[in-house]
Amino acid sequence: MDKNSNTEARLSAEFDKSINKLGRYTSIIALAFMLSIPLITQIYYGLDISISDVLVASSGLIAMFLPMAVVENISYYQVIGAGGIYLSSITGNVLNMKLPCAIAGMKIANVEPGSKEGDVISIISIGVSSIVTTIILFLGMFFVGQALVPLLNSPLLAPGFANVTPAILGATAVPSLLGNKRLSVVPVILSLAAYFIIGANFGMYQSYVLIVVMVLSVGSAYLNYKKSK
Amino acid sequence: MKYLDIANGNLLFLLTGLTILVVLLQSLLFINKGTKRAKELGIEKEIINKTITNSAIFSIIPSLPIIVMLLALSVPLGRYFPWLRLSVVGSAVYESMAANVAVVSMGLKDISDPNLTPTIFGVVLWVMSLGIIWGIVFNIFFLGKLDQYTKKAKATKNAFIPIFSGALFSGMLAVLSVPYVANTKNITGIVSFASAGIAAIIFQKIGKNPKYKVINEFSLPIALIVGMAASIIQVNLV
Repeated sequence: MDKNSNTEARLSAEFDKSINKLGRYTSIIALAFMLSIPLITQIYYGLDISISDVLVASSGLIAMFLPMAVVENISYYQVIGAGGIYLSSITGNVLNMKLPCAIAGMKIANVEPGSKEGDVISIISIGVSSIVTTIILFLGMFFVGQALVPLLNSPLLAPGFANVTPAILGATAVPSLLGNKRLSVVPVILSLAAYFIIGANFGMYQSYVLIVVMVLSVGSAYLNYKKSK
Repeated sequence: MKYLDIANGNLLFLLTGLTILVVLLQSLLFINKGTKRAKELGIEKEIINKTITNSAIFSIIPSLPIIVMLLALSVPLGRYFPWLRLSVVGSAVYESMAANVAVVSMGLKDISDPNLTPTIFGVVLWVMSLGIIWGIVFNIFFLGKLDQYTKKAKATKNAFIPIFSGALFSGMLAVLSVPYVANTKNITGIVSFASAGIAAIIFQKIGKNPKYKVINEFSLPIALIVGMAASIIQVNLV
């Protein structure tokens, strides 16, 4: 190894360490703030809330969202890196905003998802996206919301806003999938098959399908890779 | 006291506002660290600026329908809690579902049931908070380790590593897209997906010409608008 690549390996390791440290600390702080909301409200207003009521009511949601969160974070990690995951878990709207935003950013910067450069671009894209959403919702709530709603809900424009997510996914997924046909054939066929087998409840199982399809895609890519060697 | 006095009260405004500020600060810290590291990696400043502009523009349009959701949810839940959840941590799909699950388990019909008491509202706050935090909890305990192991594997410079990332990426995009592409009950969704996709490809092709470089930079926001316009045309004209 020459001197430059040694320096870069050191910088890279330092960055990984510090981004995980920053991620962990900020996650703990954000979590404390989020949980302080129900806690302080309960104490301040003297609400008589029983822990068992809370547990019963949240158990269904937790059973559904805990495994989903784990699967999604592991899957998305491969694309947007650790920094991107720390940020997007706290800032929310991952599928409909943060993930496409990071993918778009990597495309513009011409870097690969999963690379060092890709991770850095993801962090910047997700951070900016989160700030923009926060500003828009702030303006929406305190200033322009009431004026905007009739426009956004108007019969003419409503179908456009109702279909924002497919448009985002189309704009990001289609060029990426068609641009890499060799790697996309297997996952596309598998996910279509899964969709038609599972049917209307696909949404409930999407994160499990995600992990299975991702594993099988890597498996088939590996077989092709071995064959071509 | 009515629950809406709590939901629209100063205390909740203070708590949610502070939390949003903390998350904003976090985003700034990450962006700062990211741009420093980008410099080390030799990514040009121009590219970073483009990424920032593009991310900002790309995020404006999908944020607008969230305002509608925010105002709709603020009728039953008050202004401040939905403001927090839709600004950070939550998502448009999750919030109304989680709120409904909470009130139903307390014996009410749904979130607009007039029998919602301050205590039940407190339960709703707890349940919605406890439901969403697991991604963050996972990150605190496991993400560092996952990152460490992955980086070790990547350091071996195995030629399969880029293919590995590419395959995972394609798998993810395929699974996330399929509910919109294959759902024949929502033709508008398919129209929106396909036209945005085709538009993105066309704009990226045109943008390869150095004369039209700027089109390439904004190909995704423009494609997004094309997809939305196509849904509007399909619903209103076809």
